[in-house]
Amino acid sequence: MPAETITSRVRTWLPLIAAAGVLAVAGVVAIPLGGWDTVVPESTIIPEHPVGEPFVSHRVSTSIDDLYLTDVHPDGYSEPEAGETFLVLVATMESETDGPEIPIASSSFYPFTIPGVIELGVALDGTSYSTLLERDGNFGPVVVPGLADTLLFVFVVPSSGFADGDVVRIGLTDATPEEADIIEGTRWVDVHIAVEVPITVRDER
Amino acid sequence: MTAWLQKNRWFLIALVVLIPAAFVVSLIPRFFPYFADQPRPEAVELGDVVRYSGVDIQLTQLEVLDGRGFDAPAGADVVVATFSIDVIDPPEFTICDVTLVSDESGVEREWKSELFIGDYETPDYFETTCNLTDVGRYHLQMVFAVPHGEVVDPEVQVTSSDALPRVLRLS
Amino acid sequence: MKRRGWSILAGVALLAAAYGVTATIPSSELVKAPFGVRGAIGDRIVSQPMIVTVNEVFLADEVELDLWRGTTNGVWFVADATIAATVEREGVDVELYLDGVEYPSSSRADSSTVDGSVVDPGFPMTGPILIELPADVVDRPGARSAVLRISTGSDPRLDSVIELVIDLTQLDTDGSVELEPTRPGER
Repeated sequence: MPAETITSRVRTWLPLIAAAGVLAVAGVVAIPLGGWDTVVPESTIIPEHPVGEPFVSHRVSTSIDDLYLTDVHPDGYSEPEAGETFLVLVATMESETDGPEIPIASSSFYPFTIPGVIELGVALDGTSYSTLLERDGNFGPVVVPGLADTLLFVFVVPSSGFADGDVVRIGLTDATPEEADIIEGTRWVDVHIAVEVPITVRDER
Repeated sequence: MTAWLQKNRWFLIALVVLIPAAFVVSLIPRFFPYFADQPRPEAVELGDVVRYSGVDIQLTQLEVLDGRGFDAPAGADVVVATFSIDVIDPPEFTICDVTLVSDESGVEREWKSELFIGDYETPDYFETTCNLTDVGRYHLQMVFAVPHGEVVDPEVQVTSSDALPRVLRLS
Repeated sequence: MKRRGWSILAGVALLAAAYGVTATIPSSELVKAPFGVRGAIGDRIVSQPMIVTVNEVFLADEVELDLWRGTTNGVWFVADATIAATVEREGVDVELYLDGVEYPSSSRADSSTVDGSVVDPGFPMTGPILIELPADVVDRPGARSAVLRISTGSDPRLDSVIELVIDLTQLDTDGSVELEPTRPGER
């Protein structure tokens, strides 16, 4: 076969030859590395974060200040049912976005988790919790950029669920913001617990 | 130029037809349905009985009262609308809305009814909310607060969500 | 040859035009932006759904309204406004924007503020508007041209809204201020 014919044939089939070459190299490289399956780590260690220190996520910054049990609701009049009590989380928060943030808005992105009380992806019963501004007891506060304020998150829990001295690992969450197309505003993806705050429960009952 | 026009006349005629047609077609999915859903007020004279949403409705009285005589909020007059309602063949579900409408200020404005205005008291035998789903006959009276002296000849608009876009304007 | 030259030029020009069109497509935010009707303090400003006069604005460290005392870690932006609807009953919603950062009106004083209330045609309501701002707000970007927006709802997209541009650095800062709750009528 003349050299010119071989050259022109190679030119014609070059894209296919190149693709096959890449695949062959990839296959050879993959063998000693165990193939091309995605590797999932066996454990993910969540770093600890101190009480009283703000943790800055993409949505809010949160400092866990206190956690206590009480039979006296901070609103001054609500009373627990028999067998129940109030678990109060005191936290200082500030919006880290360009606008106001409702601390507990969507079950897909709570600002924090408390094992057995508030967990990512699990909807809260509206009667099982309330959020107040510590300074004047105002219900349903929002946090704004540049202005940190202390909030009380009051959860109804079984009386025997927690005891004085228990160490609770509060998870502070984070996610990546993306511009939402169908709805106005921001969509949060990859919601996860970023740090944990170990805090000792106090009993004020 | 004339030769060019002559050569391309059919294409140009097609453009003249197709561009407006394309515009009209683009309106089909949204604008025409929106337009068709817009309320179509139907005028009804005081005292006339009209069948609307399976209900016979009659506006029996429409009065504009000086609010100062009823200790109404400052700057308010009281409009009292009284109806005779006979629910004969009601829909399974509908929402009744009654508003007071006036275009006397140059722009059409509307006001919602109030349960209480000053010390005007609706007699006990009147219902004060509109119900078009329970079969039966009743008398309805609704009161509205309007700006003092600005509403002299209003209309009462009655809307049944089931009967839209048909809407009654009684006066 | 000459014809080919013109063709190439036309092709390049069209490419440039296509790039220009793509580069200047308005953002979704711009396309859905509200229609702002602007005015100044003391002006009677008329938008499609409402008529607003902002009578005065100032900053304060603490406010008192009825039985409520409002303390803050930041500073209060206080406005006194007279608001009426033009055509039908409307809600009142207020925000302050500093360089695109949104600060909503405060609901801490419940129904004593004019925002959060409803207004009817021909029945103006006058009352305070309270917005909590960071303590260092006058040093923040946008402080000289903050935009106070008054609208009928929390979603102002394509809505007719009222806007005032306010230089926060020029406002007086009072200590503790006692305010009058929302009442019917003009100021």
